This record gives sequence, structure tokens and C-alpha cells, in this order.
Amino acid sequence: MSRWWAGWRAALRIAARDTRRARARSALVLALLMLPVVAVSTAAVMWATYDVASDEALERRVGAGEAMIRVDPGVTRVIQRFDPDDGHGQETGRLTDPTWPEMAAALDGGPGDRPVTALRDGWISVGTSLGSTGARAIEADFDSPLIEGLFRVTEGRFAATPDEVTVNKALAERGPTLGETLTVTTVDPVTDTESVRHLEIVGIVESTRLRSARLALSRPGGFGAFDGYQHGWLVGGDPVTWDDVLRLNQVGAAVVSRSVLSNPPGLEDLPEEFAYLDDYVDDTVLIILALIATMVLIEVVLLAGPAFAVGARRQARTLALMSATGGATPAQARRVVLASAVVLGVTAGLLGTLLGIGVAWLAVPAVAQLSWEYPGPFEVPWPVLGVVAGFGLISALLAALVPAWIASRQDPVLVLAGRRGQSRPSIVMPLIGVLVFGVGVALAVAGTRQYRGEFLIAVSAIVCVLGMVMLVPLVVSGVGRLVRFGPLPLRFAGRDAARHRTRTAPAVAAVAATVAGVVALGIAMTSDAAENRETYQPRLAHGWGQVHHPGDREAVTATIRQVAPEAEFIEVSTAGAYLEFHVVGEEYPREWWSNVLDGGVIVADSVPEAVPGFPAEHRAEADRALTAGGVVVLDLTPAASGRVAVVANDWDHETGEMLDPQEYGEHPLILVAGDGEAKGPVIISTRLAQDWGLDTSSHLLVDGLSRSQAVDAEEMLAVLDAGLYVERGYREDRSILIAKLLLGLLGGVLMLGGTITATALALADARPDLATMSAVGAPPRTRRRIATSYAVVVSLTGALLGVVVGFVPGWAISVPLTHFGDSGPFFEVPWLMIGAVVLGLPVLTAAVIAATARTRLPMVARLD
Amino acid sequence: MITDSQPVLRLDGVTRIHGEGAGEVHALRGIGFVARPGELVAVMGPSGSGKSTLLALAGGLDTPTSGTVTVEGVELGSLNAKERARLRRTSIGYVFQDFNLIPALTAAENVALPVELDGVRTATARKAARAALAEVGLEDLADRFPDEMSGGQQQRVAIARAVVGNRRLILADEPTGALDSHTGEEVLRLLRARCDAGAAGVLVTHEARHAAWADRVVFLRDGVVIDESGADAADDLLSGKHVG
Ligand SMILES: Nc1ncnc2c1ncn2[C@@H]1O[C@H](COP(=O)(O)OP(=O)(O)OP(=O)(O)O)[C@@H](O)[C@H]1O
Ligand SMILES: [Mg+2]
Repeated sequence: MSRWWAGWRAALRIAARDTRRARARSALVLALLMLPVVAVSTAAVMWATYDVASDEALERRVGAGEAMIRVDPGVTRVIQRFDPDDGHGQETGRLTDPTWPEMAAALDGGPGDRPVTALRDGWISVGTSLGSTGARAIEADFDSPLIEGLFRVTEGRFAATPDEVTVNKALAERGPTLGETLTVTTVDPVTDTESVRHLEIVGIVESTRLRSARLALSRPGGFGAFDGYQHGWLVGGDPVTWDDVLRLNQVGAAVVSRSVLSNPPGLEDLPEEFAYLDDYVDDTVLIILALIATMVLIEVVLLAGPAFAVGARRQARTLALMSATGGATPAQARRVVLASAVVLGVTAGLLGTLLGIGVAWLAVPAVAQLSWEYPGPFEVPWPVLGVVAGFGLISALLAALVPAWIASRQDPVLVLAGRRGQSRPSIVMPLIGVLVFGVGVALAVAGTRQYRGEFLIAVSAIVCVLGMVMLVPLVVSGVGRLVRFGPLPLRFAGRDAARHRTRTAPAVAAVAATVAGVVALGIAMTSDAAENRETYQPRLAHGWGQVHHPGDREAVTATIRQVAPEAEFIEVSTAGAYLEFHVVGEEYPREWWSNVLDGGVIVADSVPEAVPGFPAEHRAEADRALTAGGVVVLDLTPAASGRVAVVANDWDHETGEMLDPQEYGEHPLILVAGDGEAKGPVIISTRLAQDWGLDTSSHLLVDGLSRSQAVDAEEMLAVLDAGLYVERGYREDRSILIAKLLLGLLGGVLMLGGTITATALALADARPDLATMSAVGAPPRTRRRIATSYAVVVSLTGALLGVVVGFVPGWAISVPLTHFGDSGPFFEVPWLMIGAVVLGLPVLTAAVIAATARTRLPMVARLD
Repeated sequence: MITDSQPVLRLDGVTRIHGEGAGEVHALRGIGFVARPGELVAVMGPSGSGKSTLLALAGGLDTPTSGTVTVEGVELGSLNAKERARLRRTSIGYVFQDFNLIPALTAAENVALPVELDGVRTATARKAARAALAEVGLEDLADRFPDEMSGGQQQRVAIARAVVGNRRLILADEPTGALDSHTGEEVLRLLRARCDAGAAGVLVTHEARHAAWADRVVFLRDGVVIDESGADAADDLLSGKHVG
């Protein structure tokens, strides 16, 4: 035991000295290892700090009380998680307001002697200088000691009477402030009458929990009758147990209980609806986290690998001397290399977590400015950070593994003879690589045929990358042979890369893994977009617009004409009834759904211009059918005619009960095949609608708005509370474009990082060669040309490999992503993006290196 | 033999000081030195006497603190880095003690290096390299990498690289230092032959035996020339071992 330790102690001492001596290389490795550690530990601290829904900061939610009991309007029964804000479900049907005795009966079996104070919570409309705005309003007795901790007075005092009010900063910024009068408009939900009250603002009071929401506080009765308000009771006394909570749930209350949240019962006590969901969510999140962690680990190991390879080779001479003179064993050689990984890994882990804590500490207040919620007390999740720091060590050890193994197999004679090359590549490794890659492909294929195969596909991506990593050395030596006829700098770079495979291969693999990820995600996103485009259902014919909530139509048309005098308006009616269409001779009713005019059945005597995808040649025929009392449907099936029986299935809108189906008889049917993918609505004539007694509503449609006119009109209509939708066909979601850009950026950064690392290390290694070239008369620019060639070799080889590997998971993931029912799957390759990655990024990388590489060649031809 | 009038290499009052202040090292102090076409000059002296420094200055790899270095009539101080590099690949050949071949390039590519760097087409450069390799008797090993050759073979490749493209000044810094005596003699014979063909050679060596190959020997100590013997003096010194 002691001897085992002694061996390591010597190795660690050598490693520590070496780490200090090779400062630049150590800094590089440290940065690579630390980056993910810093990022993850920052995120962990932020998350822990913001995660105030647990047992922390309970006074912000239950004040000085034991529990907050809340009943939403009309709710008769609730199921909830331990914390209802993490999820709860409701049944409605309550007609009367909930009362405290009702709650007390559920909680204590009668009117106990618990201290309690009531709160009412709802929405009001308050006057501002510009007009009016909404605000959250709470009525409470602010003298109650139970309330302590819910609110914080920053100026003035709490409201003491129902004629006084306090506002928070967010509301004061929009409307009247301290010392002024707040005009409150409320709607009585029962009588539907509006009432206006004027309250004096006596203080600025913040919620301790919500930061940016506008808030007004007054005494009970201060806001008059609320619209849709929530009743709440803050109770003190004995702890409220989970059983108490479950009983309160039965009378429609959701409960935040101090004792339940501080000491949650076992998961088996959750209502089963949540228990099932909990499992699912946890598994998914864990699997995703594990996959991401693995990917990051692979990337970091590959990026840090070259530096360890160079370090190991620099130590090779020392090790060879040790073994030649002192009989050092291969194990000792291995240990020295691994020890430097331990030194760097431990340093990166500790430094990285400390840095992460520091970054989080600085970031919490900044993020709080943007968040709607106040953060909890600063909290450092030490166990999580321990794992994260361990990640640094593990990645360092993994990165040093191959160099350590090679160091232990070093032939001291060759090393001492100053031969700097490496032996021929083994053939076993690539064979295993091909095998592993094959397994990855098989997994991907299996993933496409399985329910929730996404996980399998993600795993396959990792397996493919691992297989590729094992193939890279072979590819790199292939490149070394390929450059034989290239110009001198390229020839040198390619051969040198091949000769120093332990240094080159991880860098190439890092680039390849990055590109594979970018390509896979790019294919996934493009295919997804293709699906959206192909299955896009227009709501109107191209260029037509629909005014939502037109209200005063005269005013709306006048407003639009102000910006677009040429605009044409039509009104089209739809029937809201739920109709079932049985084509005569078919067993099941047809499902004709459409996006047009909110999916209603169109009532018109001729096909409105605004219906999308209606072929012009069928218009006359369809119009004739409508006048003859027929039913016209735009469908994907070829044009056909027949008869259709129509049945109304409707329910009583008061009681929610289904009414007896009502039969409307058989009518002639014309099916028209739409242009493109357009699925059209059902159109019936006005006479049929009248005969059947359908309620219709009329939609205001407008044609002839340019894009800029539409934008202006939309802004002006907002004043009238009206909205405008103009059909412009499928347009790619801006967020997809942004995601693609971010993806490209991240890929570019990683690719640049990998290439620059490898190039810098290669140049440092090639110092004697550069000195020789200088001595035989190489012009100063030779160094830059070699650096650029090196960058091209690494990034281009990596990019090409990555594209091939990325296609596998990319294709696979597009299947579950774009396959629903009988639509899809869609597969589209983002050629432009791939082109940019394969050609653009290497060129960019080479350009960056060419611009930054020193041109000065080392002059003195001495070997270090 | 070409006339003695125009020396290929000429150093006048050359001083080279490394470092500054207390750590100042005077590697050379006011040296004058000349090497003419067809002449092989041996430079001898104890370790640290400034031999390598002299060679580095002659090859334009280093610049003197004061004094001038002239190669084929061109004063190196008047050239910029680019022009000096050009001079190195067209006029000066360098042979190092530790061979300094580029391991990523084959023997032929190593020899072709200066020619290729000068912008000559690869194929032409290869042809010249093969000719130079043939001159040192290594045409069969043209496609081997340095790792696959013996030390003597590597040094012969280095000499081929130094002479390729008909360069007129060959600088050799202990070219035999890492070789056994037989192989060392072989290397010196090649140098001598090159000088007999009209080049000027400067050979730094420790061993008096090797100086016998030279027309002239210059002795350095602490950065100054302490003795200079003509060809005849060297003959007297090592009577019986005369080489034409
Ligand atoms: N880059 C340098 N920085 C500082 N001092 C140097 C440098 N190069 C050489 N010197 C010093 O200059 C002096 C001459 O060195 P030089 O290499 O020319 O000696 P040398 O005659 O070639 O010796 P050797 O026979 O051991 O090769 C020595 O004292 C040496 O320490
Ligand atoms: Mg020397």
C-alpha cells in the first residue's frame, strides 16, 4: 500500500513541476477542462438560487402562517402535487363563493380556534396616463401577524381603509404613484356591471415573490366586485398535514403548506395522476442530461487530448532516460502521464467550480432584473458541484488515457535516438471502429421504428461518434499519404499530422464530432421545417386578411382604408354548429376539418374568393351546386359527386349536456380537389343554413393589403381592440433561423477551438523543423503557410468525417420528428448549411490562423 | 580553379554580443574572416570560443552587433529578412552537427527543399534533388524518410541539401560530430570535392584530423582569432597526410 502510494507521489511531483514549466500548454488544457465545469456549476448555483418553490423562502408564500389555502373561482375539487404551483388539476361547477367555515370544516372538522386571515386575489383595470392597464389586485387585512413576509413596504405604509391602496413599483411606473389617486374599474361577475372607484395611494409595497407583475393592495372591499377572483385564507395554528391538504382538495382548495413542503411525504402519497407523470418526466430529464453530459465529455476529452499527447511526448525523453538508466517500468511511465492529468483535472475542477460560484454570484442580481420572480437566498448546491468538479478530473483522465498508454509502450532506444515519429497505425482499432459505427447505425435504424425512439437515436449518435473516433487515426494517416503531390506546406502539414497521430487524431475527432452534431441537428431542424411547410394549411387565399374581433365594422374599415385606400372588404358567414357528414354509401362519417375561417362551415351562395386553394375551373360548377341547395367540400380526394346526409351533434351551452342528434336529411355533394395541399372548408348555401336553423356569425375579410400596410393597419386596429391576420403562405419560423445561426456559431467556435489548439501544438512541436527550413532559406511566410495548411488538414478532414457521421442520427431523428399518422416522414438536408460547415468553416479557420500566425521563423537551429 | 580575387564570404570587424548588462557574453570580438572560391577553411577552437556564432552570422541566421558580413559581394546587413532568406536558399548551404533533416519529408524532398522554396516547380526540384543525392551516392534512398536511414546516410542527405542548386558557400558546423570516424571521413570527402568544384567551404571542427582536409585553419579563442595557418602550414603540421 505504501509503495503504491510512493510511486504515485513521485509521478505527481514530476507532473506538478512539468505543469508549471509548460505554462502555455497547461493553461490551454485548464481552459478546455474548466469551461464546461464553470458553465455547469454556474447553472447549478443559479438554478438552486432561483428554485424557491421548495422549502426555501416559504415566508414569501405563507407569510408567518402554516398554510395558504386558495380556491379558484368555480372549482369544486383539486388534485395537486405537494406544491400546487408545481402542478395541479381542477374540476369546476361551483356556483357559490367558498367560505371559511366550509374550509374549516374540511381542515379541522369544525370551526376550530386557528388564527386565520382572508385574502382575495384578482384582476382589475387601472387608469394610466395613456389609457388603462391591467393589474393584479389583492385585498387583505394587513394588520394580521400571519401576513408578515408576504409583502414589503418600500415607501409609505399599507392601506388602512378600503379607500386607500398601495401599488408596487411596476405599477407606479405605468400609472399614478404615491400621494396620487388610483382609478380602478372592476366588473361585477354576477350583474356584469362596471363600477369605478378612486383610491388614495398611501404606499409603495412590493410582493416578496413577484417582481415585475403590476400589483395593487387594499383592504377588503377596496376594489369593489372583482372579476374572476380567487379566495385565499392564510391559516396559523397547528401544522397542516398532507392528509389535511387532501381533504381541502376535496372542497376545491389548493394548499401551500409549510409542513408539507419542508418535509414532503413519499412520492407514493401523490395522486396517481402525478405519480405516473413524475416518473416519466424524471426519466426523460435524466436521460437527456446523461446524453448531453456524455456529448460534452467526449468533446472536452477530444479537445484536451492533443495537449496531453504533446505533454506525454515531451516527457518521453525523461521517461526513456529513467527506464534506460534507472529501470523505470512501463507502469511508471504511464503513471507520470496520468499524474499530469490528475494535477490538471483537480485544478480545473476546483478552480472551475469556484469560478462558477463567482459568476453565478455576479449574475444572480443581473438576471433578477429580467425575471418576474425574486430569487431565493444565494445557495450553493455543494453535492452537485462535487459531481461537476469530478467531471473535470474524469475528462482529464480520459484525455490522458491514450497518451499514457502509448508512453508506457515507448521504445526507449528509439526515443533516445531522437526519432520523433510514431509507429504505423494499428489495424485492430479501425476495425473495432467500423464495428462500433455499424452498431450506431443499427441503433439509429431501430430508433426510427420504435415508439419514443428519440432516445435510442440520441444514443446511436454517441455510438457513431465513438466509432468514428476510433477510425480517425487511420483516416489521418490516409491524409498523410494523400498530400504527397501537394505543395510543400500542405505536404509538410499533412505528413506531420499523420506522424503525430496522438496529437492530430483527437483534434480531428473533436472537429468531426462538432460537425456531426451540427449536421444532425441541422437535418432535424430542416426536416421539421419541411414538414411544417408541406403540411401548412392556409387560413385564407394568399393575400387575404381577416379582422378578428372587428366590433365596430365601420370604424375598422375606415381605419384600414386610411392606410390602404384600395383595400376591398367582404363579409363571409360561418355556422358554428358541430355537423357530421355521412357520405351516402360510406360506413363512417367524413372528417372535414380546415383552418379556414376558424374551422367553421362556410355559409355562402357562391364560393368566396377568400377560400384558399379553390381551383378556378370548378368555381362555376360549385356555385351552381350551392344555389341548388348542395354541399361543396374542398378535399384532397379527387373531384367526385354524390349525396351526403348531415347530422347536427350539439350540446346545451348552459348545462353542457349533449342534445339529441338532429338529422338534416340528404343533399347533393360536390367534392373538389384543392390546389396543392389546401384542405378546404365545407360550404353550404344560405338557404340550407336557414332551413336547418343554424346560428351564423359574419367575418370581416380584406384583400389588397401590402406587407407594410398590414403592419400599420394592425397597429392602428389595436386601439379598437381588433386584430388582423393576413395570409402570406408558409413562412419559416424566425426562431428556427435563430436556432440554426446559434448552432452554426457554436459549431464554428468549437471547430475553431479544436483546430487552433491542434495547430498551435503542432507549430510548437515543429519548431526544430521550422528552424531547419529557415536555415535552408525558407522565406518568413513559410511558417504562416504551414500553419494554414495544418488548419486546413485538421478542419477539412474533421468536417468531412463529421458530415458522414452526422447524417446517420440526422436522418434517423427526422423520422420520429416528422412522422404523424399518415403524413411524413419528411427528410430534407440543409445543403447550404452543410456546405458552409464543410467549406466555409475550414476556410474561416484557416483565415483566422493565417491572420494570427507569426511569420517569424525560429532562427537558431538548436534542438530544445 | 577560380581566381582568388573575389572572396565568397567576408567578415570585417564582426562583434557579436549575446545578452545585456551583467549577463553580457562576447561571443565574437572584432573578427575578420575570408573564404575564397575553391577553398575549404577549417575553424577550430575550444568549446564556447564562438565557432557556431561565426557560422550563424555567415549564414545570415544571426546578425552581428557590429561589423559587416558579405556573401558573394552582398552585404547581409543591407538585406531584409526576405532577401536574406532568398540568399540562404540560393547561395548558402548549411550542414548541421545533428543533421536537421525534416522527418516529415523524404530524402529527396529534404534535398529539394531549398530549390522548391525558391519557387521552382516541384518536378524540376525533384530532378535537381536526385542529381544531388546521386552525387553523395544515395540515389537509391531518395524516397526514404530520415527515420529510416542511418546517421551517416542522413548527414549525406544533409550535404546534398547544402549543395543542391549549385550554391557557392557551404557552411558545416561539426558535420561529423555524431558519426563514427569512417563515416565522418566520407562526409568530409564530399565537402572537399564540392570545394574542389569551385565552392567556398567553412568547416567547424574539434578534431585536428579533420582539419587536414582543409586548405587553411583558423583558430578561435574567446571570440578572437588567435592563429591562422595557410595550407602549407597545415601541411607541415600534419606531414604526410596531404590531400590535393
Ligand atoms: N543565444 C545565446 N545567448 C547567450 N549566449 C550565447 C548564445 N549563443 C551562444 N552564446 C554564448 O556565446 C559563446 C560562443 O558560443 P558558440 O555556440 O559560438 O560556441 P562554440 O565555439 O560553437 O562552442 P561549441 O564548440 O561548444 O559548439 C558562448 O559563451 C555561448 O555561451
Ligand atoms: Mg558550436
